[in-house]
Amino acid sequence: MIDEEIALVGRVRPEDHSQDTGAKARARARLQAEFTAPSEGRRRVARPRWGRRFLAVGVATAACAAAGAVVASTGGHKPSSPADVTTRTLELAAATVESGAAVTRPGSGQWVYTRQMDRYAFQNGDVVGSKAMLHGKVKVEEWWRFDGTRMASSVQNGKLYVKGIVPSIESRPSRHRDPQINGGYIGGPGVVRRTPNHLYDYVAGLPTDPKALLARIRHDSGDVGHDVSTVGSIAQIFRDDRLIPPKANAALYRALALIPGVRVAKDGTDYAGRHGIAVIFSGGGGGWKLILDRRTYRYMGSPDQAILGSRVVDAAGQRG
Amino acid sequence: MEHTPPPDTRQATDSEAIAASIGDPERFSQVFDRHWDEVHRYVIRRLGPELAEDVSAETFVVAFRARARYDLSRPDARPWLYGIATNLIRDHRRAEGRRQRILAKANAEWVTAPFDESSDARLTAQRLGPRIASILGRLSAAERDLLLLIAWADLTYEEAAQALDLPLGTVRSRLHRVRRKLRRAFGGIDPSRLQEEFA
Repeated sequence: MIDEEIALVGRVRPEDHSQDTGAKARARARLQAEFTAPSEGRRRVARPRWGRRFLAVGVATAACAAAGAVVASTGGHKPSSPADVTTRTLELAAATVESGAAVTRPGSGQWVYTRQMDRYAFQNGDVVGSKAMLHGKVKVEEWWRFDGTRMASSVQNGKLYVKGIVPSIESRPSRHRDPQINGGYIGGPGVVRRTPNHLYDYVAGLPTDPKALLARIRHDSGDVGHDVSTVGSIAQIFRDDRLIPPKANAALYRALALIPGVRVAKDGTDYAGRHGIAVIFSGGGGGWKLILDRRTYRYMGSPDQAILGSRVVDAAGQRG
Repeated sequence: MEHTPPPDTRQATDSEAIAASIGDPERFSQVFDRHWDEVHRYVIRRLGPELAEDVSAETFVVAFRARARYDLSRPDARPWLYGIATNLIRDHRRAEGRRQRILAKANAEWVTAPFDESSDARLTAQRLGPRIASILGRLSAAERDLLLLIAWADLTYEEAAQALDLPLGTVRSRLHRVRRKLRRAFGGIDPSRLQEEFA
């Protein structure tokens, strides 16, 4: 329903120039350069420069965890098929995290602190365009106020910036710069839906029956049948939610085991170069990789990110 | 759920390609191949061919870097790409404004109007002629972005709402305001005044 006035503006759109194919080729080359941007394979093994010891990501419930890696064939008679190994490893992972300490819902004024290493990060402050993006082994610390009204971050040990979270970019005070790039506000549905309170309530409210859980996530992610979005949504939960209840965490591992194309490899590295078990999904022609701690089976990170530590604190800027 | 046969990845939706590109960056090429022409064409309309190349290329680079934050429940990435392009166009205009202010200090006679607006008006006028430029010039930047996504990029209201991260209701009410302004403007243009403004 485009009406008269708008149609009139449509008719006076500038004449189309024939598009320069050179421009397309140059743009493609620029994008292509991003694809091959720092791959950890060629870099020396990461040893973070900041010397602090990492916080443990959750309580180590080594309980029954066979301190080994991937569950190998149990009887030693017939070799396990890769599918068996995947199912058994994810079941062991689920059983291990399930007995972990309960997670309590933080108070609305508390903050969820995460220390991570990212492949890319937007700089804080008044920087725009390509200069705003830092590449390669960027240390990012984030504090998200549990009630989703504010977040704070420090990039590369820099100054702490506290930003308001607004429902849409347009609802920020107009004198602030583009929140996708920097400035005093961030917002939009993608951000709002992933604030700790929303994430916590969503994840804690998921079914704990693996089949029901898988059906729910397939539905919520709008998956069209290849499970790419489903696995992507699960990976996003692990990436963003530092407060996954043990039962939900276990159910997510069991749901992953039900997805065709998910397999487990006994060694993988997160972005900080730490070794763990890799949960790999290569359906739909592409993939996701989650790295789990070999002993606790907690999520450690992915080839693009490493979660170095997290905890609930009482103020932005507080680390422990 | 059953095993699906290996999908023909060229048929994958944008959200699938973006999800897949997390592990396999090359898959993002599909998003580029599918949408470059269209996004580039729109940016050309907004900024002219010289500036558009850089801004369009940057749109895909920013999109690629931000892909992990893509909302996978949206199969079509166009609104997202247009949203990024719109932000970059605004940035570009702010940068242009700053550049002009610096120039202006060097040459005081040059200045006649606040430059953020005048550079926008000037660019639009070069491309469109003074009449439509003055009409678009009466809209706020936010109104202009919305109107042109619909009138020049042919987005639906829903798509424009996604691109600008706005609730659909806000899009409707903002367009209502835009239409009123346009109606007044198309009705009552005084050409002599425009000559003064844009000559």
